Parts: sequence; C-alpha cells; structure tokens
Amino acid sequence: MEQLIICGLGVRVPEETTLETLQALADCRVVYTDLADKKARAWLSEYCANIKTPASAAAVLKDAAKGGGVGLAVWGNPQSSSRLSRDVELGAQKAKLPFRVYGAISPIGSVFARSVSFLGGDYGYQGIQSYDVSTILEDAKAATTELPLVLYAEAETPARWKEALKRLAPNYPAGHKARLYRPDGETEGELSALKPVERSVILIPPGAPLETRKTKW
Amino acid sequence: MSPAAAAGEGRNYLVCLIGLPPNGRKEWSAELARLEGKNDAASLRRAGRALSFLGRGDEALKALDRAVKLDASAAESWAWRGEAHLLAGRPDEARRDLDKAVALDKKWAWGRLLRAVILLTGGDTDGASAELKAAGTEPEAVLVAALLEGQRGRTRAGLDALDRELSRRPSGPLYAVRALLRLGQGELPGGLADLQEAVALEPSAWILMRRADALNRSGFYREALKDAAAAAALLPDSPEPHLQAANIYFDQAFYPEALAEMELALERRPDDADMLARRARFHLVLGRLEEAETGLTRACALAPDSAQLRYERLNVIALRGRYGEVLKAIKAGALQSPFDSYLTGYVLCRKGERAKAVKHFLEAAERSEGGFAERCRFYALVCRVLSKPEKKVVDRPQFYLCGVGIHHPYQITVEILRALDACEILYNNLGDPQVSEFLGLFRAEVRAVTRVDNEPAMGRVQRIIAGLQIGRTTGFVTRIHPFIYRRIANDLVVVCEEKKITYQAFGAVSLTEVAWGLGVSDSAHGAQRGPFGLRVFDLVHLIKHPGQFEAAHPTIVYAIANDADRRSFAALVRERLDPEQNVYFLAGSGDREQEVVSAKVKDAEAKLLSLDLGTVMYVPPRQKGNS
Repeated sequence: MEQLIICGLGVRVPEETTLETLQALADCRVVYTDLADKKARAWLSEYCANIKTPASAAAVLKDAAKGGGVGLAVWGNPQSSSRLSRDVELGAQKAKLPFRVYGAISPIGSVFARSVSFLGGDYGYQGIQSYDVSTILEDAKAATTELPLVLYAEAETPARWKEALKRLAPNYPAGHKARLYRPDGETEGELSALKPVERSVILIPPGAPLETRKTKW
Repeated sequence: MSPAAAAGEGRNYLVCLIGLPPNGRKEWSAELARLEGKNDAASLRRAGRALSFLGRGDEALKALDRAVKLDASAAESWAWRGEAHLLAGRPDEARRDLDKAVALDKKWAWGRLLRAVILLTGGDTDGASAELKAAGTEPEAVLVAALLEGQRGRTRAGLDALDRELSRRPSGPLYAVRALLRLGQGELPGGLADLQEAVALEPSAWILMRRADALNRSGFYREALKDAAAAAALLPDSPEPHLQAANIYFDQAFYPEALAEMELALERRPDDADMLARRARFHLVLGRLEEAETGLTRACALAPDSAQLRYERLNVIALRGRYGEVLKAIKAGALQSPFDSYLTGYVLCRKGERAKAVKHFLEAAERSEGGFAERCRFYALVCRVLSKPEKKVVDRPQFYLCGVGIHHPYQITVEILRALDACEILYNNLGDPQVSEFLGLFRAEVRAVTRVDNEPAMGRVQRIIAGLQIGRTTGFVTRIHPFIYRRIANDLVVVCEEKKITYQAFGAVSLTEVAWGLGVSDSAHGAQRGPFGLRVFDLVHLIKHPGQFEAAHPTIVYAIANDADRRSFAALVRERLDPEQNVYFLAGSGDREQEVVSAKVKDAEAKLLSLDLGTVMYVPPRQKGNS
C-alpha cells in the first residue's frame, strides 16, 4: 500500500463519492480532510476510524512519512478542485513519498449531470472552462466569455463569491443569466443576482452562443 | 498488449511460424486426400499435421494419437502432436509431447524450435534461449529469437534482428512477428502496416486473424470482421475464425451476430467445454439466463473436474433466483474456497440481506489475492453502503441515467449505487462480464443494449424507451460519464423530454479528470500550474477557434478527429509551446486497455497520429520562460 492516498470525494458528498475512493480511505490509518460540511464529515467517519483536519500540506506529508497509510480527502477532484491536495501531491513528489491519487467527479462533471449539458458530438458543447473563485478574484480575465464557465468553490465566503461575480459580470452582456447549484437546490438568474453559499457551483453560458452548440440552454 | 502478454499467446507465435497461405491449404488438402486410407505411422503423422493446419484439431489429434501408438520411438510423432495441442490451445499437453520429442532426438532442429516456442509461451525465456541455440541455424529461428527478445523486454533487439532478416528475405511470418512486437509496444499503426505487408505476401488464415485483432483494437471492426471471414473461408473446419468474429461482434454490442458466430464455432467443435462456457457468458450478458444455465450444465458434464465451470453454473442459478439450491450446493462442498464464501455473499446480497453478505465477501477476500480479492472487498463495501438506511426519496423518477466511470464498476458513486438498487430493469451498453456480474448484485432484470447494423443511433434509444413500464423504475448504465461524448445518453434525454418521462442523470469520473490527473502526476510536470482550473475542448472546434487555446492554461483536448485535423492541432501546439515541453496522451478510451504516454511538443504530432480515435490529450500550462 502507498504511504499516502490523495482522494477527491466529488462535488456533492457523499452522493458523488466513488466506492473506489471510499475503499482506499477506509484502509488508511488516518484520514485528513478539510471538508467544511459537517454531515459529510460524519458520513466519512462511518467508514474511516480516524478523521483529522489538516493543519497544512506539510503536516499531512510529515504524518505520511511515518508510514502506515495516510489519506487525504478533499472536495471535488483532487487535482483540479483543491489547492491543498495539489500542494500535498507536489510535496510528495518532491519528497519521493510513494503516493496514489484517486480521481473523482470534478465540478465540470457534476454540473453536466445536474444541468443535463453535454460535451462533444454535434449535440454538446465543443469547449468548456472551469475555475475556482480564487482564480477569478486574482484575475477576472482568466476566464473567456467565449466558452461556458463552471465557477466553483467549496468554502468561500458569500462576500468573496459576490466579489467574483461582480468582477465577471462586466465581461458578459447585460442581464446575462447563469445557473447556480447550492447544496439546498438550484436556481437560475442574472449573474449579479445569484446568491451562492460557501459551497456552490455556477454554470455560466458563453457570452455569445457557440456556433456549433445545439444544446438548449 | 504488453510484450509479456503477447508472449503468452504461444499459439499465435507458432501459427506465425508455420502460416497457411491459400496455396498451402490446397497442398495440405491434396496431401490429405493422398493419405486417405493409409494407416502407417508416417502417413498418420503427415495426415495429422495436415488436419491440424486445416483447423480440424480434434481429427488431427486422433490421427496423431494413433501415430504415437504405432511408433512411439519417432520424435516426429510426439512433436507434431505437441504442435497440434499447441494449435488447439492446450499448452500443458503440448509441453509434455515436445519434451518427449526432444528427449528422443536432441539433434532435430525443428523439435528444438517447437520446444523453444512452448517454453516461451510459459514464460521460460532462459529455457527457450537454450533450445534456440540447440536449434542451430534453422531459418525460422529468427522469428522465435525476436519474440524471445520481446518477452525479455529487449524489443528493440528483436526488431533489429527482424529488420535484418526482412532486408534479406521478406516473408509474411517475418512481417507478422514484427507486427506482434510493435503492437506489444503500443505501435498500432506500425503493427498494422506490417500486418498489411504480411497479408500481401502470405494471406494465411492465421495472419489474417492477427490483422483482424489489430484492426479491431484500432476501432476498425468492420475491416476486422472481413479478415475473420476471409480466415474462416481458408479454414472452413476451424472454429477459431468464428470465435474471433464472435468476440469482435460482442465487443461492438452486435449480440445476435456474436451468438450466430459462436454457434458456427460450436458446430465445428461441439464438445468443447471452454467454448460452451464462453457462449454461456454471452447469454449471461444478454440476460438469457436459461440458455446460459443449459450451456453451463453441458460444459460441466464435459469437464466434471472444472471448479470454474461449477462456479459459473451456480452463479447463473443464483441469478435465476434459486437461492436455496445454490446455498445447499455450497454447503455440500460444490465450491472450493474462496468461491464458496464469495457466492454465499452474492446470494445474500441479491436476497437483500446486505449486512449478512459483508462478512462472506470479506472472508472470500481474506482467502484470495489480486483482482479477485479486490472485487470481494469492493462487494463487501457495496453491501455496507446499501445496508445503511437510504435518505427518503420523495419522487423517484421513472428512468435513471448512470455513468460508472473508467475503472468500472469500482468508480461507481454512492448515489448511483442507490439508484441501481431501486431499479427493476437495468439496461447497460458495457458488454463487460465483470459489469454484468456486478449488476447481478441487485434485484433488477439486467438487459444488454444491442446494436443493429445500419440502424440510426436513435434506434437503440427507442428500443430502451419501448421497454419502460409504468411503475417499474428503469436504469441505463454506461461507461465513463454519460454526458461526455455519449450520443446515446443525449438521445435518451431527448426522447425522455419528448415523451415526458421523468428522469435523473448522474455524473461520473470522466476522461477529462483522468487525463488531467495523469499529466499532473507525472514527475516531469513539476509545479507548473497556470491559473487554477482548466479548459476542455473538442479538437476540431479548437483548430477552428485557435484563440481559445491559451497556452498559460491547463488544457484537455478530446482528439476525435482525422489525421489532417490532428496535424493542424499539433502545429498549433508547436506554435504556442516550447518544443521540449511535455504533453500527455491518454489513449485507449472506453473499455479498452488504457495507455498513458508523454511526448515532447516537437514529437507530439507523430505520437498523436499513432494513437486511437478516443485519445484524450492533456496540454500542461506553458512553462515559465517560454515565449
């Protein structure tokens, strides 16, 4: 067994958590998780005896170096949704610590299912982009308006969410609508009117329809 | 296929050596006619070889058995029977006969060469090497030597030897063996090109069958079927080409055609327990349980010592709901450990006694190893999850659309597990026996989605929808993510909306996440990041909208495109990224064996052109310092 297991739990935990991931975590001596959702943490503890909150990537790596199997469980997909798990992975690579990453449903995969949107073929999107809120706050131009945008965060304050949407809004036509997915349901509305909570995903259609996209919005 | 796995197919190696060009068939048929009625050992040996090459394995072995009885002191009697056993897929018997042949005549080169083949088949590379030395300068030795190098991981040396020989005397078998080595290295286009040469020089049935394999792996199943049919015409008495066609049809979900070919194979060898079991597995995937049980009962009678067949038969009986019968047979000792515990857990899970089933699956896992232990532990976890009370579902939809990821069924999610458990009918288009077995854990009736040649894509969907019944929750299970490059899921949604059928869709791990993860995990990738996030494209769209490809952003590209478009994209990558930077390829989509490769940007075009249609690329963000 690897000394370190890096796992994603999907966007909606536990619904989107894979059994492969759950099995890997259940075999660990200790599982670190930064999940903010208490119910999700409680569910995970039914399968993993020793759950801890990581102080930092370095702390996870230090414990993993002791051996016996250490797991890190993060929201979304570990290599695209969580900066913590990327730092842990890079640290493990640098320290030559044997590790394995278990993939999970990313915000793109999750939002496709929930919005019944498609990628590929003559019926789906031909391109899509996905960024976390922090990225947009650092640079609102990171995202292009030519592609649908999946904007996500697991634990952002409503104020930072609002600021991100405020910075994005001028790039889109006035009244541009998007769909918000929160743990308690989904709504559609103008970008600036959406009210995301800490853990949310927003699907923003392109500023102008993609020429080859036939999927209804 | 890896070189080691390829080396396991000793039969293939042997047939590459001997081949059977069309004129060879005529010669062997004429020889057979000439030998009719002759019962001396030499004539029987000759007739046995002819029958063996003509695909009439059972008759060949009968003739060679008699030859051995009449002249047990002749090395040839044993060697040709060993060869016939190898051609019939019986390596243990082949090994015994070839050992005897070499013991009788150590100086006979062909005997040593055949023994080298059988040793290589068993993975004994040192033994094969010694036999090859003893075989001396027999021209065919270069073929076996090249395969030996391939199995030792020195494919380059094997290819060099073949190249030298090919420059001197090009032949079908030489090209065919070079193709095997190239295919083992994942060089699909190179391997295919060699097989084209091999067929042009020597269109033997066996070489045609190797090309059919390669074509099928490349996604050209229609061409593969043509080769299998041509091989069947050359070997009308052999079940092998029909078995190959059955497997190709089955892979492509043309189930009625697959079964028809399987029947043709069985007509040619009706008492073959392995083929009867194979047909039963086809029946099982199709949900034709009664026929599966009948076939397996017959197979068990033909091979009463086979624990595997006994297990498969009881498994089918469990799927037919005769739980008491299965548990009684297990208690009476019908199955060995760990299959006794495994099937007990399986029966309990189907009966809905999930908490009880956990213990049995874990016991089976304790007593086994490898993939089977992994499956037992997985099933135990499935039962654990399902044994916990489900959150109340207010309005269950009529129809569930489910993706089971890439590493299926292990990547199934908790919500899909619950949905499957609620279904009474489960359609699937995976055709993977392991998935069929997994779906058998639930109470639902499992139905495979059959493809019909030249049917519009909507045809399958209409057949699924026609099977929906009011009050019976139905599910559709497909590979990877149902909404990423999956027309069938799109069409199902369209029809559900048209007919006002309530439905719910679930996401799954897709090739986007996998390709991304594999690239990011590569040690050469390092800490390069770009903005935290990514862009995903269809290759054809991207070359028409190059402005959307910003090299500072991590990018995933689905490369379902022709060579010209792939070249255009490779040029775009060269224009934007440093030639020494790595890009990553995830080849072999769907159920096929996946291959992860990296290439420098400067070499990306050649690599991309060599990979299959389902290839997904990960282009990391431009490294610092690049223009």
